[in-house]
Amino acid sequence: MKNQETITAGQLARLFFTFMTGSSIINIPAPLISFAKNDAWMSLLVSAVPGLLLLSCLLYMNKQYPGLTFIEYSNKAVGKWVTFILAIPFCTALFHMTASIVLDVDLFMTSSMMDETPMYVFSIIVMSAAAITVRAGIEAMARMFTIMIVVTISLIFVIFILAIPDYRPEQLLPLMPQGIKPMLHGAYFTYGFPFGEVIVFTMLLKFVRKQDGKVLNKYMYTSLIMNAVVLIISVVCTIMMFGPMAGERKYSLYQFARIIQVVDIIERIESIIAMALIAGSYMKATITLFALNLTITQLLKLKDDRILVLPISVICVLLSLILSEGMARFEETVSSVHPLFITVSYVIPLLIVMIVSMFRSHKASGQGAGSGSSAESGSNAGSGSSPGSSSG
Amino acid sequence: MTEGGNQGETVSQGAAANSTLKGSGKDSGGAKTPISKSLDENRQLIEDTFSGCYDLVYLPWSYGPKLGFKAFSVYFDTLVEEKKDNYMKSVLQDLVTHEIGPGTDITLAVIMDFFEKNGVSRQSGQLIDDFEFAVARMLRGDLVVFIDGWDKALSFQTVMVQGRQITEPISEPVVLGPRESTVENLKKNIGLIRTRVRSPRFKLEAISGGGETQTQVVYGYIDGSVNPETLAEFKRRIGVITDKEILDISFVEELIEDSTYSPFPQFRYTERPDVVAAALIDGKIVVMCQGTGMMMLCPGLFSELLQSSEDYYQRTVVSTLIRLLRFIACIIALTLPSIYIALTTYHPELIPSVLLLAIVDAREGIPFPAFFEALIMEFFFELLREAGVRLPRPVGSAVSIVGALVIGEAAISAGIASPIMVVIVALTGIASFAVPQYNTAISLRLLRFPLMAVAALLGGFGLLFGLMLILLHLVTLRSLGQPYFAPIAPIRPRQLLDVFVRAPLKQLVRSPRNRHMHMSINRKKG
Amino acid sequence: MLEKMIVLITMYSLMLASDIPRIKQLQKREKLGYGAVMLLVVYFSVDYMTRIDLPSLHRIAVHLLEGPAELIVNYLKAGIS
Repeated sequence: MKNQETITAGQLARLFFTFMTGSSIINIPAPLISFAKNDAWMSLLVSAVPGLLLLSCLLYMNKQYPGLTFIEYSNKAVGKWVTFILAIPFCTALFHMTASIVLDVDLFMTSSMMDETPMYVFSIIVMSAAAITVRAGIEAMARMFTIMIVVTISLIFVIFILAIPDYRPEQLLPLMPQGIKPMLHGAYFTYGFPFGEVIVFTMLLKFVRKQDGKVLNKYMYTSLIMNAVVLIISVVCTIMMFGPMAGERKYSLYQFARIIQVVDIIERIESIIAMALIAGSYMKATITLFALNLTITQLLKLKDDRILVLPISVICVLLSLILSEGMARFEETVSSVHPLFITVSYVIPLLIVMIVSMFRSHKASGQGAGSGSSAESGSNAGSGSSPGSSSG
Repeated sequence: MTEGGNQGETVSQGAAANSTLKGSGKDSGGAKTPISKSLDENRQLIEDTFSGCYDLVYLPWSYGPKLGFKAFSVYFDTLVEEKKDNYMKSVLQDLVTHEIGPGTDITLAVIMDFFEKNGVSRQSGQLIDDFEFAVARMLRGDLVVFIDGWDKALSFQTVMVQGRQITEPISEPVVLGPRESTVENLKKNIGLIRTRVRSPRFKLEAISGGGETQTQVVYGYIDGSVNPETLAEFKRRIGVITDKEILDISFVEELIEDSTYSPFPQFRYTERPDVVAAALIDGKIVVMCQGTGMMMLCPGLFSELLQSSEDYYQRTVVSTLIRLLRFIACIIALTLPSIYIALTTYHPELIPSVLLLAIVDAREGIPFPAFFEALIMEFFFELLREAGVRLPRPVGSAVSIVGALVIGEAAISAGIASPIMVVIVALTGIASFAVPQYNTAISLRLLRFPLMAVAALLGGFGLLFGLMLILLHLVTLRSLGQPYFAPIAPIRPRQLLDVFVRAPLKQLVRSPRNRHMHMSINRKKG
Repeated sequence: MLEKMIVLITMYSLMLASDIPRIKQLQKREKLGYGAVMLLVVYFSVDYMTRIDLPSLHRIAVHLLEGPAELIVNYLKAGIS
């Protein structure tokens, strides 16, 4: 059963990196650059800060309640019913995330490479693969993804290196021609995706084996920083290649690969990049599905933790297909609403539980917090998107 | 030495005697039939047990003063190669000359005394107490002597059936390195290994199969190198064979392997004692079976797929490059046809334009889509290979030449296949032969068909997911409880020195001895 | 419509084929849990098939949050000259 499986801290950190980077590499640069233009890389730097903060919350809670997932220690801290209420947005967000990752793959495939194939084929295949992998357990996932992410990132860096002759570094300047706001806009966006999604890992930290507890923090921070670095490099290269116009076309990395031409043989290698990106999305979808499955299983307090995987996967497939039918409206809203959405669904529950448990460890009493903190949402979102004092 | 009466606890009816004689005498759970003191009863029992076995020989003897005492020897004529000595005679001679002195009468009491006190005799015999054991001995090729009035019997080891000579290994030839291979005789094989592993910590334990074949299976390991949990797991599983018919070592493999339905083999076979010795030092368990020349090494990991013993007999740089070559061959054998199908059907832009033109040109006029063309050609190749295995040697090479020329050329001219396809099929076949382990090469070949199908359906996307499923399977597979894909996943960097590259012996020799320490420390890792 | 039906049936059969042997061995609680999730599956299947936009949680969330989100984004965009 899953609960007995343990992985090393290093493996979890790698899973974390995979999760954060997997689909981000392709999806982030274009919209980010469309918001922040040349300052996109600064947005990343800025939004990495709340990411790190959230990660430290995670790790703190993990130390308080070792070996437990978010649902489990939330039960202990705030009780069954509040947990249930908090879990509603949490699960909704997880479902939405998984569905949108799958949707992303669908859109990508049908828009660029295999446009005559209907979308549900891709949805079903990706989710089936994810479901099978989740059922195989987190050990299998850690092992597989280590190999796959190494291959994927290497391929991507090869692309970046091959494009060196075409870079125009002057496009990185000027910095902040229009003031700080575009950059903050970008930071708002990247806070939503990927840095805010760090919290999904509250469900997964418990799988680290006990003797690795001390190094876990170090590894996780390293992963997050590496992820930020990779994204920054990716964005910088994209700007250098395409300039501020990069934001106009989606899937900038794909466009990147299209342009590269080496020695007349290696041209138009975007299909390989496409494969790498689909692999990355699959990996993220698998991890998210795993977290989702675990959440629902623990909410319902079931003993068999693999039985729900398939129905949940079917729901995700359906969601992705439903979402695809409301496409136009979806795209507009998602990039602006998403950061708020995950704040409400991920960050706030975690903060609530954390505050409550901090009170509990200081005093003997304290059922406080609870629902009275919805007023915090506004201020949290505000503070999440403008910690700008550091970068001024 | 007490005589007692002619107690007949023996069952006198043949049928009942047959039914109690089950398995080897060592561990029959049922009643053991004691040897009767009456010679006639013993003889009757033997005749009943082995009724219908024409090759059983009885030799009655008389001895003693006035040749008044009776005895007889029994043996299988077909198992005993030559019987130079009359064992009875040499026994008596020894008694007379060495122990008692001339002139003493040889009586039963004297003989009994002599043997029960383990007197030295030129042909040392072993005392047997019960009937089942005597039967087992006879079936092993020993000669058993029954003496009238004694409730024990003597068994002497005799020359066994000649087997194949020790020659060059057939399935694993090398250019450099030793050229001994194991044969079907278990003792010879064990001897070959013991000469190489001269350590009291090299332990060997025997276990017998069941049923009519009673095959002896021996497993060995080096105490201190082998991982204790693996050994315990192995011992737990090997107990299964005691009531099954074991005809060949592969039966043992099937009974103790982790996953019967996986296309990948979980144990490694070899017929080279040097490979076995190296594996033993690495902490593996070797399993040998009477009557099979191949030896099995457990646990078998995927990384051993790339290893051939010759790697260690050549220089570091050379071996490393050759290993990388093999790795590429492995990938080619698995994916080349699928890549071709995916590229030509779905992603032609990936092919450099010059080559693309050549391909399009070649494929003009071929009635089938790339997938069917590939399928047909691969199928022909497999057919050819399978046919070639069965043909006697003189004809075999002719068939392969004919097959290659005829099918290749003719297919091209008939327009069934394009030259590119033939090249690809040939490359795939050759690549699969470059993989050192025969059984893994087969599984790779097998797996390329589903990959071809998925590539034909969904192009690169399908190929990606097909490969991922295979990877997933490899990553979850276990061999005797050890993760199959170690040391690649879970990552064990120290052992990676021996997977893709071949690090110099100075670094390798240090780690194998400590490997079991690494394994037990890392046992919970990933 | 027919296409969607086939898709749904394929998914259902795959799902049930691999789950039914396991479900038989489970206790009541797991069966209830499975049933609950299945309800959701059916709900979304209907949504998918009929193209009615049935309310789903995340749509509600989005709806609620659209307001503040617009505010923030407009504030941030306003700086662009």
